Amino acid sequence: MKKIVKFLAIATVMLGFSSGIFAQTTASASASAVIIAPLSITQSANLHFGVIWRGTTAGVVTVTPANARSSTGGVTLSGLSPANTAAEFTITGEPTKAITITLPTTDVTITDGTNNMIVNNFQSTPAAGTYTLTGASTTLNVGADLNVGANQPSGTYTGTFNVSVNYN
Amino acid sequence: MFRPVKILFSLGIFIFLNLNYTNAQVTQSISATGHVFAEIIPVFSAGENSQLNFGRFSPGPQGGKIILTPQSTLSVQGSIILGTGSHNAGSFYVTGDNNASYSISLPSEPVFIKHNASERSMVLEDWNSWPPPGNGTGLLQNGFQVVNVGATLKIGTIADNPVGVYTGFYTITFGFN
Repeated sequence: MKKIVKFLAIATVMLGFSSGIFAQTTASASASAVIIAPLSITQSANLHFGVIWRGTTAGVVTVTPANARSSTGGVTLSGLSPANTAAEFTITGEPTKAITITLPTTDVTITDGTNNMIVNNFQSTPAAGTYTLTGASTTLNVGADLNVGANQPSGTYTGTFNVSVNYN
Repeated sequence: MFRPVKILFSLGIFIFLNLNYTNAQVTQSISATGHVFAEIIPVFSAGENSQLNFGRFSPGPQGGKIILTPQSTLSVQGSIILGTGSHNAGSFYVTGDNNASYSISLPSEPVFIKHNASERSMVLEDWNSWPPPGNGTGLLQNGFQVVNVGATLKIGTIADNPVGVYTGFYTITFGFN
């Protein structure tokens, strides 16, 4: 009687994986796994809005991914050092693979320890969204808007933001 | 009879792992932290409060010099005879950040002031100021400071410098670092 029970149990398992019996044949073909280089991203230059003369009314300073700086409103751009720089990141991954670049979509706060300013409207080259890697290494430049308040207290303001990449 | 069961069981695990790998690939996301910097500096302004004025005087036979200090003290050399009327040092109002320092640069070349009815002129030289000229000599206590400027006026004889009003302008530079 014990032998019969064992046989029935085996038969049940075989039915459950009956389609897998055929899959086993193709499984040997798909054993050739595709190996791709892991994605990585590192920052190689800071986003710096440079030196700005504050005004009695609020203003906005924009640094583009190409590091062109402009202002609107009650602020004046100063040529004093340090100069403005767009952020630069280095992405490494598998050439020809599509990735998604994600920039901050919410406000980033930078501070001098006491007072704050908002950085937003991040933009990049290549642009956020889907991008196909062309080589082993891709340079990503990032710019944004700096919102300077009326009579913004003088000082050096710092903060951080995150840029993400992932394979599609 | 046991061997086929073992093979099928292995296949089941393979499929499971394969699905798991696919899910991991989709959710892989790599981030990097970027750093943002900005430097805000104050509006720095300067304007003239009062003009540099040597007042009224007569050159006398030889002419001479009138020395006007930044404190508006007047002294003469030569045959100059001072008349009535007011005189005062130049005065500038500088504003900026509280306790910010700044530099003061005075004219390094002589400045000419011209007669209102001829081409005659007098020369201003030996410029001085309080706070004194130099890097970081100015300090904006409470966000402002008055800078006073004096100079020495060289005057010729009455033939060189006929009666009239002499005017000109000069440049003083305030530098903010």
